[in-house]
Amino acid sequence: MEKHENISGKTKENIRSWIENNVLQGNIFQGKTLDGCLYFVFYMVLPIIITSASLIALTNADLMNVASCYVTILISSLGCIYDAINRWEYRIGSERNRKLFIMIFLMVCVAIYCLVVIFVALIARKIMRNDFFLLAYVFSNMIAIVDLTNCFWQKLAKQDAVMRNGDESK
Amino acid sequence: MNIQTYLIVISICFLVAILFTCVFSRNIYKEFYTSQLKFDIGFNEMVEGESRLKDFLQNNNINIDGNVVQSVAQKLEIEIGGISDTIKNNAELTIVDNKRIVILKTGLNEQEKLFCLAHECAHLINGDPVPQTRPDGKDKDIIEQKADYLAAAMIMPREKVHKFLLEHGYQNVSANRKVKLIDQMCKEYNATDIVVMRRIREVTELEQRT
Repeated sequence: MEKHENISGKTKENIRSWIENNVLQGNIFQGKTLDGCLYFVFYMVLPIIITSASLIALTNADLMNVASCYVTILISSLGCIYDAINRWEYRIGSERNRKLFIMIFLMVCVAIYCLVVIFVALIARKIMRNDFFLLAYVFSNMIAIVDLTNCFWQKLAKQDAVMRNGDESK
Repeated sequence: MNIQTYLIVISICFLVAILFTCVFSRNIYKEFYTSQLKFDIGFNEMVEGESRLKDFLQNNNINIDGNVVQSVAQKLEIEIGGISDTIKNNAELTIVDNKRIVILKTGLNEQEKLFCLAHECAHLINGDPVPQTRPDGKDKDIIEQKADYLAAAMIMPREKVHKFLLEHGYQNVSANRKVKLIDQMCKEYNATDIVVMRRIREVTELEQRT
C-alpha cells in the first residue's frame, strides 16, 4: 500500500514537472502576447472561418467545387506548417520543438488528406471525403491556444511579481 | 462529419485547452516568479559582495560605464573557449595550457552567455577554486548563489541601477510601466528579465537598509 502511494506520488511529481517544463520553457510564442494574438487571428480564426464557409457551401455533386474547397484548406495548413518551421528553435531537446513537431505532424496529416481529396476528385473524378482528418487541425491549434493563454498568465504573474518586487510575504 | 459537429468539437477543444491552463498555469507562473526572485543570500553577504566587486574594479581601474564583464574577464585572463553539447552545466571554467577557459553549453542565448561569463569571473573574484561550473536549476550551493549575485552586480552595477530607478520613479509607477522599464533594462544591460527583476529587488533592499 505504502509502495503504491510512493509510486503514485512519484507519478504526480513527474506530471507536475512535465507541466512546469511545458509551461515555463516550451512556449511557442516565447511569452509574446501580441505574437500569440496575431497567430490566433491569422492561423486559427481566419482558417476556421474559411474552412467552415467552404464546407457549408460544398455540394458533393460538383467536383471542381470540392477541389477548390480543399485547396483553401490545404493553403491554410501549409501556412501553419511554414509558421511552425519558422518558430523552430535550434536547441537540442527543446520542449518548444517537441510541440512544434507535433503541430507540424498534424498539419502535414491535414495537408496530405486535402491533396488526396483534390487528386481523387480531379483525376479519378470521384469524391473521397472523410472530414474527421480535419480534427487534426483542431488538435494542433489546441497546443497554440494553451500557449496563448499561458502568455496571458505569464504577463499577469510578471506584473504581480513586479508590483510585489518579488516579496513573497505581500 | 458535418460542419455543425466540426464547430462544436472546435469550441469544446478550445474551452478544454483554456480551462487546462487556468487550472495549472496560473499557479505555476506565480510560484516560478516567487522562487526566482527570492533572496538566495543574506543581506550581509550582499553587502560583502558589493564591496568586494567595488574594490576589484577600483584596483583594476575598471569604469562601470563601460563593458564591465568584458573588462573583468580581460583582467582575469578568462577567454571563451568554445561551445559544447557534452557538458552537463551551462558553463564550465577550466585551465587549459595555463589559460583560463570558459566552455559554454550549446543553445545558450547571448544574455545567458554573458551571465555565464560574468558568473565564472565572479568565482575568481570570490576566491573560489578552479575548475568551476555554472549549474542550472534550483537548490544550488551557496558558492554558486554568491557567484550569481556578483555576476548580476557586474552586469548591472548598483549605482547605475539605482540612478535609473530614481530617474524613472520606478517605485511609484504602474505595473505596466514597471514591466516596460524592466524590458528597457534588459536591452540596455543584455540581461534576462529575471536577472533584471532580481537586481532591482537587491538594489532596492541595499539602498533602503544602508
